[in-house]
Order: sequence, then structure tokens, then C-alpha cells
Amino acid sequence: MSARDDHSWGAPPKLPASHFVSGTVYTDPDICAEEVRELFGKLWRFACHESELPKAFDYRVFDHAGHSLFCIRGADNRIRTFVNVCSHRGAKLLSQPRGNAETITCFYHRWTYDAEGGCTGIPRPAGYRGTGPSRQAMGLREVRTEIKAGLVFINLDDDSASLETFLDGALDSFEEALSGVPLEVFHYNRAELNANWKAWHETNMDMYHENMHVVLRKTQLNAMPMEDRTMALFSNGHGASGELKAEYAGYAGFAGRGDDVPPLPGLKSTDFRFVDLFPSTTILLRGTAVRIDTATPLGPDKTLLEMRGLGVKGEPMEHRRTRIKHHNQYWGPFGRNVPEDTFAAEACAASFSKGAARYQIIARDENLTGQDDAILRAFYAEWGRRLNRQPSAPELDWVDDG
Amino acid sequence: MTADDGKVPLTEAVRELVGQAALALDAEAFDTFLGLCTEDFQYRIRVMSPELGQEMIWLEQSRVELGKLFAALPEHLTRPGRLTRQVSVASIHEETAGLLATSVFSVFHTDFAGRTQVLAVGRYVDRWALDKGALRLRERDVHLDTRDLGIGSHVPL
Ligand code: FES
Ligand SMILES: [Fe+2]
Repeated sequence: MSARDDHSWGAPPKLPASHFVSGTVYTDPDICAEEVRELFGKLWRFACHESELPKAFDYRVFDHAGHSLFCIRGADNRIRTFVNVCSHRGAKLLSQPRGNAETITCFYHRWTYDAEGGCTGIPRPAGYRGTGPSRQAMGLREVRTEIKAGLVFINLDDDSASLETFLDGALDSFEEALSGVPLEVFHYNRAELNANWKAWHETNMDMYHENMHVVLRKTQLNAMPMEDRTMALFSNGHGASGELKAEYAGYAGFAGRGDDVPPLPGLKSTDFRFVDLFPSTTILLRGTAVRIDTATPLGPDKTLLEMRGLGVKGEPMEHRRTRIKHHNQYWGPFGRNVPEDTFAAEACAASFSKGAARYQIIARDENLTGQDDAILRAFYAEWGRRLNRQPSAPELDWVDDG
Repeated sequence: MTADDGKVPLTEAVRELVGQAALALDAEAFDTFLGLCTEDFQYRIRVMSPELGQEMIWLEQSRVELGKLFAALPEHLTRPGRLTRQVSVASIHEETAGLLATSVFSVFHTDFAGRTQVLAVGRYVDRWALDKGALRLRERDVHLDTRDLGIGSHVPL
């Protein structure tokens, strides 16, 4: 046991390349731009929950891969997504985060569009006679949209495989809880973190950091034998926990959590389960409440974190109140766990930003049980394949060693 | 209306108590803060979401729950540094059960390097009640305008 000099500290760990990650992946602006283009620009991504658009012409505006987009429910009840940009001269069309618009009117020259993306009006069209622009040709840019278990996913890449193929079954064991009863969003929070998006997402993939959260130390670490835990890996970089357990009485004030409101379909109030969808969406089910979060890169050292909490649509007020309470015990800006995860993401980012930290180790191998780092390794393998870079040495091309 | 001794008008007393509550929270003297509250005290943080078009509750605690939360703070990984609350009582109205005080507040965070930033702004809507001859806080609704709290906070605002 001894401290290390700079040479030793800066040398790559003596581990298989799949078991550590270079700090450059968090700090290099070129890598960040590639991630936006190759990952966020080409992969399916959770956009919102269908309950956020309950009526025809309801819309939700959001940011994705540097673009402003909006989902809107059409008269035919279908949810479609469009780039939030006018076909004429590029003005941003919708500026409110949500609303209802049967006709979308651009403020600038007052071209109009319908909820199916068609251009329905061009003032004084005669002026274009002979030069080309017509309503038929000037529709909005539609973005592929598919819904699974109430979750609206979008994809900027018109040529990519279907959502079903991309998910590879990663959501299957969450479907009963997410769609066995209709859900709706009661919590939404967006916050900017001073951290790379992957540093945040690692907190969702890393089982080992249970040790950081006092609540999990007291309620989760000893609730079931480590060797009875399971994890599942899927194609395309997704990973999920199996069923984990909590003994809420271990943390003051949490005893009896879940006795007073029905758990989600297929779950007991003491069950906990999560799935990490590549690149940066996580769904967590904790007995009575759901959290869905997404991380969006704003730069190598800035991340937009969006978090949603969901309850059962139409449930009695007192159930909703309790469910919100359960959500807030762990999650939200005043939860016991989330401010610790954000703290961890920023603390690691600060170390990597100026090179004080050089590598991070993801070498726990517990055969997909306990606190295995397998989900982290699956994530970085997919990252490497997609960007053609080795996560352990990003200046080198990806080598697929199976 | 005046307090029992008949000297200090209740409105003045509330103004001073709102300040004392802020100082107690700033000093993390949580027992002192709870000492200013009734046994059935309720604390809520409410936030209007333009994304959902509805109000959200981000924290709801009874006095007993708050006591447990405060007691657990030393074990949690909390935002390093200290918070300073600046509170200005904007209006006080008499109600049958006591007084309703609305205050505008800002919470500043000062880190270990001594740099100060605004963490949050909003309004306290407080219900003060005469409890065994003393004014105590029965209900505090924190209406937060700030929705991006960065890493968040274990400490109620
Ligand atoms: S930019 Fe929209 S109508 Fe001209
Ligand atoms: Fe965590």
C-alpha cells in the first residue's frame, strides 16, 4: 500500500481496456460534439410521457441534440414530433414549453401550420408565383416518433432501425408497471449541472454507489443477499437491474412507506428496479412511484438534467399526495438521494476538468450480481462502437474484442 | 390585536419572528426553528410548472417529519457552504385563527471559497397562531419561483 507519483498516477490502470475510462471522454469538446451528432442525433430518445399531451392539439416543446423540437397530438389522436423551426426563414415557432394550438402561426411573417406538420397558410402567396415556394412544399420537418408503454420516443435519424429493435426488450419488464394502469406526470424539474452528461448518467448505472447514499446504506444494502441480485444487459448499450428490495424501516421516517397507497402494477411497495436506456434515459420504479430522467449535453462540462415523477391518473387526492411524498423522499431537488447524485457528478467533473483525475475504474465484476459494473461497461462499449473511439484511450479507434 | 402583555402589536411580533426563523435556519439551529412552530406545524414547498401547467409539491413535511429530516442531515452529503436568507415581510393580515404573513425571500449560497450566489427566490406564506400565549408558526408554504436549483438541497429553504 503506497501513494503514487505523477508517472504512476497518469499511467493507464493495469486493467483490461474495457475496465477503465479515460478522463478525456468528459472534457474534450470534439468528443462532446461527436456525441451530440452520433448518439443524440441518431438514436431513439425519451421525449415526454403521452399524458403530457392529453387533448388534441396539446404540445410540449423540448431541446434535443441542440435542436428545439415539439411533440403535438393531432386531431387523429396521434402524437407527432417536429423541429420547432419555421420553413420560411427559420424562426422558432413555439416559445412556451407547453400549450394547445390547432394552428401554429409563425410570429414573423405569419405562415401557418397544422398539427400534422402541413403548411396551411402563406400570406400573399402570389408574391411567390414563378419562384417556387408553395404550401404543399413548405411543411415542417417531421421527426420519427414511437410510443412504448406511454413513453414518447423520438429519433432525428430517418434511417435508423425501429424503436423496438433499438430497445431490444430492455423495457419489457417495466411495461406492466408503466402501462398496467394509466399514469400521468406530477413532477417535472430541469436543472443544469456543472458536469459532463455521462458523469450524471453514471450515477444511474453504478450500483456500487449505493454506499454513498445514507438512505440506501440503511434500507437497501442489506435488504437482500448481494448474490441474489441480478442485472440484465441488452443490445445497443442498455442495462437494467433485476428486482431489488428495500427495508424502509431502516431510515427514520420511512417506515411503513407504501402501506397507504397501492403500489404500481406488478410491484410490491418494497420493490425497486431501474433501467438505463442508452444513451441517457433512466426509468426507476420504487414500489409506489416512478422517476424518469434524461441528461442532455449542453457542452463537455454542462448538462441539462430533466426529471419527471409519475403517479396513477385519476387516483384519489390522498393517494396522489402520498405518492408525491414517496417520490419526494428519494427524488426531486429536495429528495434524500438526488442531491447526492448531482453532488457526485459535479465532484467527479471538477476533478477531470483540469486533469487532476485521469482515469475512472469500472472493473467490478460480480457476474451480473451484487454491485457489478457491467452496466457501465456495456454503456462504454456501445459508446466506443458508435464513436469509433476506445473509452480507455479515445484518441485510438475502437477495437471490438467481443 | 396585541400579544398577552398588551405592549407589542402582533403584527410587529410576527415581523420579528419571521426574521428569527430565517436566522435560525441560516444558523442550522433547527431546534430553535422548530421551537418557533406549533406541534401541528406543516411545511410545504410549492412550485408552478410551466411545463406541466400545474402546481407541484416538492416537499411536504409535518413537524415530526421535519425533526427527523433535520436530525438526519449530518449523515447526508449536503451542499457544502452556508445559506443566507433575506426575508422581507410584505403583508400581514389578521385571520380568525391568527395572522397570515406573506414575505418575499431570497436564499443565497456562500461556498467554502467565500463566493456567494443566489440559490432561490420566492415567497413565504405563513400562518401564525397564538399558542399558549405565544405566537407560533403553524403553516409555511414556500412558493418557489426558482426551479433550477442546480444540485438541489437537503435543507428546506
Ligand atoms: S420565418 Fe416564419 S413566417 Fe417567416
Ligand atoms: Fe444515486
